[in-house]
Amino acid sequence: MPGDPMLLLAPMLSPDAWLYVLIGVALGVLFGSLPGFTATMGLAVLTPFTFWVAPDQAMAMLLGLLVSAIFSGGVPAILLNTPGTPASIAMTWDGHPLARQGRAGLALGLNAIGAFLGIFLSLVVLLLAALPLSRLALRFGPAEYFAVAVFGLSTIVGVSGGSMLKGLATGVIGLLLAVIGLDAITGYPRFTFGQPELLDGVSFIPVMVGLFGIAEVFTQMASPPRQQLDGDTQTSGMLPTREEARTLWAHGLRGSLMGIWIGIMPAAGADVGAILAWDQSRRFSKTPEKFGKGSLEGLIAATTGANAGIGGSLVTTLALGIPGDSAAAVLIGALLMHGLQPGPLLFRNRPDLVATIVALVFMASLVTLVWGLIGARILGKILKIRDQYLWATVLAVALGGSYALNQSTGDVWTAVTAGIFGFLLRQQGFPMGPLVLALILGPMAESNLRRALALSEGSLATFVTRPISLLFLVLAALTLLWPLISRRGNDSRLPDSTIPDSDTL
Amino acid sequence: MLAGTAAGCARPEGPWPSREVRVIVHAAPGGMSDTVARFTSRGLNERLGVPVLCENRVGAMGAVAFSAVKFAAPDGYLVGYAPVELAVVPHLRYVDLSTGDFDLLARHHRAPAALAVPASSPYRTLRAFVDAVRGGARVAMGAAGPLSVWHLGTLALGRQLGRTFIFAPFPGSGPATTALLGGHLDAVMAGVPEVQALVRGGAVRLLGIMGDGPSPIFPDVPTFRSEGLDLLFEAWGGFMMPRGVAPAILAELEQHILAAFQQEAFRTYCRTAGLDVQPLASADFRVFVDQESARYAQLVREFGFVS
Repeated sequence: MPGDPMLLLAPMLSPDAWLYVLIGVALGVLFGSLPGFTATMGLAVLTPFTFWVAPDQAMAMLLGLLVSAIFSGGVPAILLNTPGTPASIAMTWDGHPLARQGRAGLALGLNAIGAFLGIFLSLVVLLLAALPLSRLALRFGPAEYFAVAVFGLSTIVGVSGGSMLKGLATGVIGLLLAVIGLDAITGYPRFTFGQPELLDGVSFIPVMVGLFGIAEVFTQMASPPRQQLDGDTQTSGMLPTREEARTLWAHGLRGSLMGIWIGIMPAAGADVGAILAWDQSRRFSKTPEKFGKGSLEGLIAATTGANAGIGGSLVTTLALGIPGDSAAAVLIGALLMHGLQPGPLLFRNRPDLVATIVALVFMASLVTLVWGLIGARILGKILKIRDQYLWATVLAVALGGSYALNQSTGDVWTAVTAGIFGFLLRQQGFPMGPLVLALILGPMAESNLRRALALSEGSLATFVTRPISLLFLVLAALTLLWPLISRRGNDSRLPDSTIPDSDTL
Repeated sequence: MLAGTAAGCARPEGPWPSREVRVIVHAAPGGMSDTVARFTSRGLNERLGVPVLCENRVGAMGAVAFSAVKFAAPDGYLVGYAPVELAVVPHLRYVDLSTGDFDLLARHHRAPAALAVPASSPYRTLRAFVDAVRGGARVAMGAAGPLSVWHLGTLALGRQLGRTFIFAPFPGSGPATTALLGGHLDAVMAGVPEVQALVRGGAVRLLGIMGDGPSPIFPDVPTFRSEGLDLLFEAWGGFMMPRGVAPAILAELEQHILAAFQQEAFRTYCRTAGLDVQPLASADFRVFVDQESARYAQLVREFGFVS
């Protein structure tokens, strides 16, 4: 059994393992917190090393990087409204308003605790139910993935903030941008205008960096000088009060479960997990009107939803030997290098290996938690840096990161264009949430729709005769109709669009 | 290209190699192509005495990486990984490319297409599968695609049998195999290394491979040729440089790369990963690539992907 306590304990007693985890965590902090630099780039830096060290040391570094990168992505999301990784987009929605309200320390603290909670719960699930869960995940085929994507898109209603119409408008813009590039089914270039840079579509990271980071810089430039906040008051309270904490547990748990499940499904990542977790929390919250304006519940849901995906994706990677994302691919590569082929066979025959991986992730999350709580004090001081220096730095990092991604100036232009575009939209009160959601889920919805139709030989019945697909389509319909239903109940409706605070979304 | 030229002008050059050599890979880090490139880089590094660094330029079926190699200065400091896509992508006319834009150094491996079905599939042999399809059975196939060699192999199989499969392309062999395990597909066409773990684990069964001989990894699996179907579809990988590199440098690199293939750890990896190592020296690799390129040019035209 991988859950054997002796197997789990062994790596934790090895100073070597801690050292390599630390190296990984440090790299993850660097690549995660710089917008434009991604965990995947950190992995590319690490990959050569994983070749020449023992497999457990390689795994320690890789897992350390993976764990700390998602947490670290939340830090600029909270402090600067600029997500460091796609997984931390949802953390800008409540984390940044909290920072503006002078509670940056609390937001950073919650991010650290939420990351630890989400990862811990996902590891428990990995130990207890990896094989049955991975078999359940296999039942998701093209029809089911289409339904999940539609369900995800339906949450545009939730992430639109004030004005539904403006939310839908940016959502449609996102869907239109998502059709650019090589057609996933026929291979023909679409709307590329002969530009080789567009063959792979509008690349997501530069768009994210532009819409959030660069647009935020412009917004700051255009708005009256901000009251310099005192860094000490910012970071004094890092933990929620007992009163506040009471409702947070349920939201953390729900966010984790959502994150774990999205992580297990091989075709959806932590970015989707965080957004769905946030939206579900809003739906179940007693104070949904606070979501998007600094809700602690929203932040904990987003951060657990993003981080719980780590254990979730390890479930499919280890139990099936199929890499769910680039990080999992490097992990599999590192194991192969040492003659170990992940898959059902390895999972059954080498419980020690699975236990080591679980233990290493746990160690990495522990290191990250300690760093997160200590670091919050230091990082909060970023807000004390004078505006002109701070935002010039953000701009430089954003442009540098966009270039470093593929050494492509095309990506830099994408980021700048997205930045200008995002700034103009935000000035008019258009929310950015629906745009990124559509850009992430649009391709997933389109390619799976067409894949499912190819397999059903054109019959639309495939979407309603399959129970899982039907379930998600019904959920999507309910989500879309929810505002009408709740209007009749006249309570938990979102506030009117008269307050133009949707720029935080 | 500009950066390369600028660096070339700025630094006084000693005899080659006097600075680091870069290897451009079309695939993401951690995958098979990347690993082959990295093992080779390490061997090169030991022999050349300068750093040899891998760079991943992912996108557009390799067109991004191939363009980067094509437009690099032919100064001997930039090597490209040359996968089978090099023989396919130029014909799709996404970007202006041709196999003639490159000097080829050496081939490393071949990995034939494998027809895989779930362990529970009613098709137990290649003959049973072929007979069923000929008899009109509706078979749902999946493969990486569109336009991967596995996709083209599936189309060619359908054409030889006089039937069309129900077909869905997936973003890679991994997702296609996942769909196969979940019962959403009847069969998958993928490279032997991509399914070997599941075959060894007993989750899927190989019916046949599209190689020119039995696979050393699964010697019992019949080839399509042994069933009278002339189908040869395989992935392969090697190394190339932008055209115009000095012949002395090319010859030296060719020898070093062929020697790098012999590293013990590299060979162990290839055995575990299910790669069939079949090195070819520069001249033979050129003949091989030109044959492949001509074949795929005809196939993408016949299947209607280009006019």
